[in-house]
Amino acid sequence: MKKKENRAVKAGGIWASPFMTTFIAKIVTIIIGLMIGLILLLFTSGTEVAIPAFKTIITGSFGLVGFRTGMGRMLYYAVPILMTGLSVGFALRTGVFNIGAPGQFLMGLYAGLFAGIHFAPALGGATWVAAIIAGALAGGVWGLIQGMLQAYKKMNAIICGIMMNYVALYLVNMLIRADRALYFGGRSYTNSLPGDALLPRLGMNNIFTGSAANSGIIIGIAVCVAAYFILKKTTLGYELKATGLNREAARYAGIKVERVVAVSMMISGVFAALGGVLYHNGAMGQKYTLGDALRPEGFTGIPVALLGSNHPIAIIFSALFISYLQVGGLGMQSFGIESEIVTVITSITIFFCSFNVLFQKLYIRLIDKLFEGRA
Amino acid sequence: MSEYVFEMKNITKKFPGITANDDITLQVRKQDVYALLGENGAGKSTLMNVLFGLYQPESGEILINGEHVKIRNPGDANAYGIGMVHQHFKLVHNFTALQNIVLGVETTKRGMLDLGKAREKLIELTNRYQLKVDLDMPVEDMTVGMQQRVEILKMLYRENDILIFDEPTAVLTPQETEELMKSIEGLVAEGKSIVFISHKLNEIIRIANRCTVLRRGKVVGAVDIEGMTKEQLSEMMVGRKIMLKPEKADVKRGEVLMSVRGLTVGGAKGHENSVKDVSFDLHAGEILCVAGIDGNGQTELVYGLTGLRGVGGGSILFGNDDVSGADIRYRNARHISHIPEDRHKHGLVLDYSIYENMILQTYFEKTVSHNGLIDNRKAFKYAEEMIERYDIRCAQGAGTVTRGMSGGNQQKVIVAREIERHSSVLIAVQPTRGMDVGAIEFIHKQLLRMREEGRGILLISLELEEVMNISDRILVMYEGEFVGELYPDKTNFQELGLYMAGAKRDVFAGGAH
Repeated sequence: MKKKENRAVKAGGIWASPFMTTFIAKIVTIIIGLMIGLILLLFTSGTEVAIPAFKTIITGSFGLVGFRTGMGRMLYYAVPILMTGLSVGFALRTGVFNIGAPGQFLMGLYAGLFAGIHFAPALGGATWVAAIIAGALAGGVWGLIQGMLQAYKKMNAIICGIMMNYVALYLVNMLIRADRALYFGGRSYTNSLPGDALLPRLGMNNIFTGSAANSGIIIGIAVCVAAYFILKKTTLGYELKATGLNREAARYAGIKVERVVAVSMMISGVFAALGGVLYHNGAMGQKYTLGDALRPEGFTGIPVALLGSNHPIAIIFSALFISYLQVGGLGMQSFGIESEIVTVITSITIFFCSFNVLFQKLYIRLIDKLFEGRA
Repeated sequence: MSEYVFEMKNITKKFPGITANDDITLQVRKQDVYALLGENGAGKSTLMNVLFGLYQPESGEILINGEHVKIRNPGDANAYGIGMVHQHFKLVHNFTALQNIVLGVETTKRGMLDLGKAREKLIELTNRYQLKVDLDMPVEDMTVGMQQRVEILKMLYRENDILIFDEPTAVLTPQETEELMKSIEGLVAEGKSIVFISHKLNEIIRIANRCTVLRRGKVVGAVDIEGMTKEQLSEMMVGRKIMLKPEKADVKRGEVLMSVRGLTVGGAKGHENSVKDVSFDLHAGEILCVAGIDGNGQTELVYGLTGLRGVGGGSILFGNDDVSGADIRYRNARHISHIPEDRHKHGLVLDYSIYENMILQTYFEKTVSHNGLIDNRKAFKYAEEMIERYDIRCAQGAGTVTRGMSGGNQQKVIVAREIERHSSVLIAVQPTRGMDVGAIEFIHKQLLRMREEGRGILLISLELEEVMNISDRILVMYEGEFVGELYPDKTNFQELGLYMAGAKRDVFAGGAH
């Protein structure tokens, strides 16, 4: 078997493999995104500020705050976008665009907060586990509702997702305001969580000093691996992928594609909601601010998923990468530059991801040229 | 002036991993009807695409009337008088014939469209070549035969002298085919030269005077058709002797396996029913063929039987089990195998590998999964077995992604999967469409083997030769109803054609006996 595969690989060997092709194309995309970001910086701030600021992005502010702290921050900020990225990517594997991730994220965050504060007296040290379970449940229900509306009622996925996001936003505001334990009247933010509701830090505070790094990242990566396993090994994964790749063929095979879409949205909802819990229950003193805007982590999931080609394992790396840029962006504020520039840069990078096929083609042509006559 | 109207000399065209055209030479004289014969993937289309300027060959030259030319794009080809009728017509459906024909070369007067001159020229052309076309009829209302004549007119209007026909009869009834043959004779008489791509040997013998046979990208031979037999041509094409008419063992028709009564299936949204109150029985050991021109309700009949579309009424009985309201999986798992009409839409998940496609309906069954986990190794082994047994050609064994495979081998994957599911009834929709004689022979053998095993086969086919060669009984479908029940040994192509065109119909009570 192995031999046959090797023979099928054309000139260029490992360099021409699909993995390398995608990988190199993504790197090119990222570099172009960063270059345009640099040009923007030069336009807005002039050389003497722009160059060091740009360096901060590239180095992820490690240079400013030190390796350990920088690393820890990167891990900490990667958790929410890792989960929302997985959420969006997983749904896309079934051919569904889950734009409802911000709403599911919020439902998870709320459920984690609720369980963390209300259950702490009874559960003590196990409260954080209950918070995670509560968050997952809330997100699953929220995702399932959206999935059922899309699959059975043929509701437009975008409209449905956006609507569910705003329903979640105001519902959470309402629920929090009505709950004395979570909220004191007149403030704009919630009470913070008790220590028992926080994720274990597993000594990460000693390794990554000066950061809020905690076991959330480990749980997040474990969930990604689980998602990979579901897609790769289970009959459910087989159904999900078949539905995503060719819905008509899935129907022909007797797969109930509506049910599959609904289930996929439910799982996707669980992932996004875990992002909410793991983030909010991750660090001491976190307060959720009530407001009229959806949190950005849900939307950032979209570029994370796209950059990771919707692959659960690749998403780990794309989330870490985007988090790295974001931490760098935070560091840039010390130069008097708004951290929004990082959002602009990631957006441009993602924008160039849509040219990915073009870059892949160019790359393949280059490889063909380089290895010509060597086959 | 050269002896040849065009020549392709020593054309070599390579694609990664394959040489599609290997040193091919093709020389066509004025007023030739030149057949290009070969199996799928033999390089016919590649060669014609080179002539048409869609591909640039690595080496070789093209001469038109003895002069070297470089054809970089279809525009160049057109300028040299080369025109092509594609297998799938390239017409705008809600445009009239006239609008379609002038599209791209519109005649204008002071910047405004002026079709008067074009109309005059086209009327002259239709008269000269005896091509019956209603210039003001929208294409969507035309028969397939007339659409094809529009394509021919399009080439004539552009004053092309070298006309390429890519499998032109695949979509025609026998009567329409005959008309096309007459048109081609007319074109040749007026000085045109024809290249005719086909793997239907009857037609090549009927119409062509010379033939080049390709096999795996190489020329096997160029011969005069005069004196050649079908058997000789097919042997050249495939490289071995082929049974053109499969041998049918004597099989006694057994009990009724599937009994359909009063089946009605809706059409596309807002349209009237596509299948109207249809009844028939399918017996064990029988190949029952539903013949008809494409679009007379065959597709919907299959959708209704397999569950891809809900039925409007009637029953589908397997013994006492009426599955007319059951879901697809129920029918799949208990009674029906289905080789679908559209292998890309329904038959395969193209981005799945062979082994994943092999378990499309059975992935959850005990044979390949336990507790919700798929045993990929088992599925892989099973697929390797199928690849061996059904001679599926693939680059990387069972792990080959089906998208990259040739159409014939993709179809073999489906055929293997459906036959080996051992259902009592197989519904095979155009199982040999677009396949070459070797593959057709293979698939027919498999169908006949199933028949001998006492299973029932409902064959939906547009290919009359196939209908006549392997079926035991023929039901002709016209406008959603069965209009005739025929037996291949008691009928002929002409009679079948008349039923298919709706010119003849029998009244028979629901079609079931």
